[in-house]
Amino acid sequence: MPFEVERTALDCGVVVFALSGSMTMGNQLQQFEWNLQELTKKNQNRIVLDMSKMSYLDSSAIGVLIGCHGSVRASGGQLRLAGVTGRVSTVLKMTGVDKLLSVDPTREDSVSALSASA
Amino acid sequence: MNSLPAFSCTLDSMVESVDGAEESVRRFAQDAGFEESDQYFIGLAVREILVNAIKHGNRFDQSKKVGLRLSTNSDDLTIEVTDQGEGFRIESVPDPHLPENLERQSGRGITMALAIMDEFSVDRNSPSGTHVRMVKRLPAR
Repeated sequence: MPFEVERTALDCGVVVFALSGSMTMGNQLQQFEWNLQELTKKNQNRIVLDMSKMSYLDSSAIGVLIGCHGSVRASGGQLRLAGVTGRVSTVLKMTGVDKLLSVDPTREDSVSALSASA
Repeated sequence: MNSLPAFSCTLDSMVESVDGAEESVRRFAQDAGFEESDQYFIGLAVREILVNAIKHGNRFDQSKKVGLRLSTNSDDLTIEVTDQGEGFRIESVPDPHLPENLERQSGRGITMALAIMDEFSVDRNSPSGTHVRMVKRLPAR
């Protein structure tokens, strides 16, 4: 399945990226990282990555998640992952990323946590 | 089960080569008797080692190739990946679980393959270049 990204800016100021498909090395992954970093430069730095429809990610995608986390944090914001289940969750644990990034059960949980931190 | 005929192919040193190779690995693992979840993770492990070979081994040099060979015996699935680079030492791969490495953006592919496969070895001095050999035990029947 191709990697697809749908971006939604909520009234509370949180931006949600709904990710789906296979997140692997390639142009689409680079484009996603660039888009997120551009957003961070504009101080839109409370970000949720909804991964509930993601089926696959490789180490390149893991690297991008860590890079985005660093950029957002450096700008004073926060990035949270939501809806991580099954094999994607296994990969995050396998690579230690679950210890670095904030992971919530649902998108709503992530949005609530970021709204509270505003 | 009887051993499957071995499968081998040669890949160009480009990322676009990896998807098809991963699909071949998944099908081979399926034919060898692995369940879908195992096929998924075996495919992921091979993807990581192929990308490593293309990116860090052959450095995207189109004059260099990556070899992939899949074979079985009565107990194991063996996957071999060769490249024409200088190789790496498993000991030098940073452990991403350590606090000082948590924010490193690279180096997790080999960690994945080590976690997924039952055996993992690297021969930096094989005649064909760097040779990575991975073994996954076949499911019990």
